[in-house]
Amino acid sequence: MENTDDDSWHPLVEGDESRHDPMDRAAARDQRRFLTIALIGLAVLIALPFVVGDYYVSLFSEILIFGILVSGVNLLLGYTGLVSLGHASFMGLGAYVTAIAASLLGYPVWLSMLASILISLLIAYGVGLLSVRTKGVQFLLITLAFGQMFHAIAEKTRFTGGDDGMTNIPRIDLGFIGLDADQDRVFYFFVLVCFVVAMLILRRVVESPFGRVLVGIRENEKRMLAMGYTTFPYKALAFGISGMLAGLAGSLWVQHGFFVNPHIMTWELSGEALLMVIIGGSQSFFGPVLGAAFYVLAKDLLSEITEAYLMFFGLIFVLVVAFFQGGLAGFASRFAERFLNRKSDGGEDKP
Amino acid sequence: MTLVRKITSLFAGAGMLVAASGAALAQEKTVKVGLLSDFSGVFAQLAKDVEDAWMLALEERGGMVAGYKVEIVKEDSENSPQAAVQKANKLIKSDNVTIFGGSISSGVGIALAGVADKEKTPYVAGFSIADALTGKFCSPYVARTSFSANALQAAAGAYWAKKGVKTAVFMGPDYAAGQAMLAGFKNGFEAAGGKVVLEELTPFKTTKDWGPSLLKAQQTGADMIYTFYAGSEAVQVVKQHAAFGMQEKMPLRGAMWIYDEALWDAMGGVEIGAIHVTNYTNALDTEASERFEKAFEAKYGRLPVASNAMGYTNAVAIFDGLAKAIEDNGGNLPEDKSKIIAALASLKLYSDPRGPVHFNSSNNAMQDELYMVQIVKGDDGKPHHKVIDTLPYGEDLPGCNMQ
Repeated sequence: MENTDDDSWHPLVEGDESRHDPMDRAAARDQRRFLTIALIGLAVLIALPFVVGDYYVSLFSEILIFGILVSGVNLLLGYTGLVSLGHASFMGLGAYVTAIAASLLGYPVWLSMLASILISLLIAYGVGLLSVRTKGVQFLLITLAFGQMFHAIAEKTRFTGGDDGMTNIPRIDLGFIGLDADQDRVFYFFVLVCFVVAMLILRRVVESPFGRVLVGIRENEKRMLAMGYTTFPYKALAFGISGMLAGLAGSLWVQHGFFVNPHIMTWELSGEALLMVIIGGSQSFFGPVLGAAFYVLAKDLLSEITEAYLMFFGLIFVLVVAFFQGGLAGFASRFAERFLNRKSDGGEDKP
Repeated sequence: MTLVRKITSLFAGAGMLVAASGAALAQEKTVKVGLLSDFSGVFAQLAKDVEDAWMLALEERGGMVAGYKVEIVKEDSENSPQAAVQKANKLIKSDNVTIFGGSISSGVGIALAGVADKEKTPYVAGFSIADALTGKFCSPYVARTSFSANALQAAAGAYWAKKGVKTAVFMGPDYAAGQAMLAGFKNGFEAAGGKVVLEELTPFKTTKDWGPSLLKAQQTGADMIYTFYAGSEAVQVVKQHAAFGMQEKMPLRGAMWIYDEALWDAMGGVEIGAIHVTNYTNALDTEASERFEKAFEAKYGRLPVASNAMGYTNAVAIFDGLAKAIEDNGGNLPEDKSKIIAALASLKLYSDPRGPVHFNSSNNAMQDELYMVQIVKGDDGKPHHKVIDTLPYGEDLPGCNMQ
């Protein structure tokens, strides 16, 4: 993450162990800040279904599912500096694995979900091994090509209904705790649990030495090479993890809509995922989730008003990129910083 | 739906504002019907045609069914199953529609069938022709007023075999619909004694030159080519087939899509004389179709096309099905919404513009009337349809197991 001075909004950082080392202190502050945002966010997400109507519960399930996808995309875009246009195909892969295993082969859904996660991890890692040797436009085009290839395979596969797709895919069976996931609120909480687990894993990844190397690659890959890192396995694994999260999102997606067809693998969805990341803020851990929420809700609202809502999206995108540095998350954190600093009487704790 | 209503529905769970507006609405009994169609994307024109027909059917009923005022809630499924699922959720959970219909694309249709089944809210497909919709994925909450791919093409295949056509080449795009059309045609044609000697499936959306395929077809020496293409692909196939001089020796047949009225201008005259199967043409001279044409022309100032007729049947089935379900239930909407589909599927639409149509009770799919039409040059010098034969409807593919 970019260590801008917006870490300083929390004036209460006084870890004994970190007093003498500014790096540690910044990390502890960052950790505290992460926990604050995470807990507030979690409280809001838990309270939400008790406040809003059924439709919005299903819409928020959608937001969380996209949140998992775009957080994975951001591991590449924000942390590693790689732009992939193939992530919809990993989402589709996860979706198809769950659909085939649960609906056609009759395996329990939880097992199908595990299969989705594993298979998308393996295939994304394989694709990563082949594509991360390139960079920039070549990388983008290679991921696009892989994506289109998976899309074509899905379209040609007859036992999944080809282009038409398949429906009546079951949701996870929560009967053992007496719940029915066909109910919107129950399914929402199931998605929320998956979301939280995905976020914790992702946090663990970006906080680990592995994650630091990824940031190093983004900032200056040549220097990392000079320091003795073989960067390419790092990038391939990042691609794999990111694809795995997309696969989990896909697996939840088929359960959400009971349906899958190749449309979920189109590159447009990969593009939308990038859009969510950038609108939300690629330099922030939760920024992409904010972007997903904004995207889904704004689309819902705008599509009520006009069929040409994509035009407005273009406009919003341009405005965000031009004026909101760091996306919505960057804007929010600058706003909070200013607000809190004034409150605490300019409690700057810079040396 | 306005923004204000949107915000109220956002807080529907809190239930404060809704209670107030609910009291105001209790005076008049209304039933909400969702019109969910692909208003943007490649099927936008078809969706508009369906909507026009819905509005005509609603107007003819004075906006009422069995004492209930009908409120249409329109949503755009964008020719995307993802969007369709989201909009269907909105119609069901936020707008509280009793029933919805109107969809065009097959993928969207199948997605909606799944949602309807899970949410126990009736859905009536108006255009989606995928066999699985009323086969593998059939449900007591799903009906369709469109024909199925298999039934249409099997009927056409049987017709041509009985007319003495012994061998045929099938040409079509290589995706789900093309494959379904091929299977249907082959079923009917070969059961009646014909033989498909070549199955030529071309890459969908990327083929521009049909020369190689047409050459291959020519070499088989078959009696005819049977095709399923639509839009610009149809125009190119028909023109190249004519340019190859194959019209006499190996005529190009198909269903309504290949010789669609909207493509005649682009075909530039080579369509004259072509014969194809259809489930509606404005050249029909039954009393019901004449009445529909007059009413449609009076409202919109133009003649209806097949997609208008499809939309009209869709709306009539929904409105009259609702009316029957309400009447059967002593003037109130039935609690169990599958009764609406049951009532709808028991309708006999004797005065439908497409002909006297009814539903198959085992899978709630419409059993259509089919016509063989020829494109002829009229006295005004313009091409139009001439009905040359009627043919019995084919069979839907098995696979429906409704619980």
